[in-house]
Amino acid sequence: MDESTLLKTYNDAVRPLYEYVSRRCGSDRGLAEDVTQETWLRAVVAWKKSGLPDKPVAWLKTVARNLLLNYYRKAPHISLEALPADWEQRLLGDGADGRSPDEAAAVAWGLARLKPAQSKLIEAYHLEGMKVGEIAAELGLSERAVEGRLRRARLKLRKIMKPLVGSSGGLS
Amino acid sequence: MNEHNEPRPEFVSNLEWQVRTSFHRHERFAEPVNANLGGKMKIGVLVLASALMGAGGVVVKDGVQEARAQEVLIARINAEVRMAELEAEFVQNRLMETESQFEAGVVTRDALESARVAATEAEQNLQRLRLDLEEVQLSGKEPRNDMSAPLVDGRDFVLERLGAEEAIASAWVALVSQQVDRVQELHEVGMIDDADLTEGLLALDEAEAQLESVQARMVLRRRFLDGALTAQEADLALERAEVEAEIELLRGNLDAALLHYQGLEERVQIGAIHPSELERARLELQRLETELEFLQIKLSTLMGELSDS
Repeated sequence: MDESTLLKTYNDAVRPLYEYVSRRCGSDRGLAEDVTQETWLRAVVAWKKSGLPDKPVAWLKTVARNLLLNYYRKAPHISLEALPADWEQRLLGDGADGRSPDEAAAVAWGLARLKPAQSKLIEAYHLEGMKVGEIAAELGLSERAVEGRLRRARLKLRKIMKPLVGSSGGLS
Repeated sequence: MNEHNEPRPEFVSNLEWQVRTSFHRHERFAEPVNANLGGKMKIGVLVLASALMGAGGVVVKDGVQEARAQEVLIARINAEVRMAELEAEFVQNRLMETESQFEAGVVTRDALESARVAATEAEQNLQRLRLDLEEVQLSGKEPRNDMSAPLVDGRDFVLERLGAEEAIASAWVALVSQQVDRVQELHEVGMIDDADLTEGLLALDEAEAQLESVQARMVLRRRFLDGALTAQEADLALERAEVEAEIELLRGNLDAALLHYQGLEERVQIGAIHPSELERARLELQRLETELEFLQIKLSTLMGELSDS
């Protein structure tokens, strides 16, 4: 990989990567910049060694996602008082873009405690807007299997969040 | 796009400078190209040539040795099959006894479920060994379980063995799930503490991860046979799936260790235990975190190899 290829990739990918990270941390600029920066520095080391991957943006997003998960996993005492009763809709609905950093942190805290396969599924369907059929094709599963896994993942997320949301959380 | 999710221009240009600098730094300190490669290649050619010259004389001897090795292999697996038959019979008898005891109210439902799982396990182990034996008899070689193993006489022994593994893993998930339901009921009424519940949930996570890992291998195997994956891609994807499964399990252990640490913290504060116990728990937490970071780096490397292949 030569320098011009790297810089072209950087210019093509830096904004989609930043947007991806920023949406997942509720537009917390400091955190988004730290994670984006760390991801790129890791990319330079890895790509120098094994070359540019076929899908650099996907590679960068995966590394950034792991860094965010690590960050939120190390924050066990996040205050979830600010989490509104409609947190599920705010996470899973169209309002995901407008989440505050506190809300995003709370939701990321919950997602970080799911199995990676489950959090990836929720992110793919609810945050990336992928269709069940597309996810099924990517994972080599039937649509029914994906729907079942999504249902179990949502149930588990609810269980994880339940003790933290309190009586106003609207969870049954 | 929400404007709050756009990067600042000065951040983009500053990071570009960092990326460029990092690239040059690694370039400057890269390992030198091995100047003695030509010499090593010549030695390699000589070694290969002498090996080939000697090879003709040992072909006949190798053929005899190979046939003997096959006989030994078949005899070994045959013995394992006989042992597994005895084990399956024993476990089946135990299951029948346990069923009678359960009906008489002498043993719990858990004991009965455990006996059923043991019987399934023994039966599936026997089935797996019989498949090994059939494969060796057909191929004359050790059974192969890698994702890129070829079909043997039109049969897919890899998938057949995975089917047996899936049955055991499913039985485990069902059993552990029932146990966790009971643990949760006890936890809700305050009969057991958080640590017991966490332990139960961890056991369920492990059982589910095991089942998912078997199912993932089945998907990979089918995709390899369909031609959607090359042998290298299939083996790399398997390695990736295994690392992901390890990460999942480790995360569960990390959660449990964190909970344990927090519990100890409270007890140290009230003077119920010596601080050294807290220190030991902290070290364990750090060990698990380091292991997790290592696995994540390994996963990133594998992902790089997968996208390159």
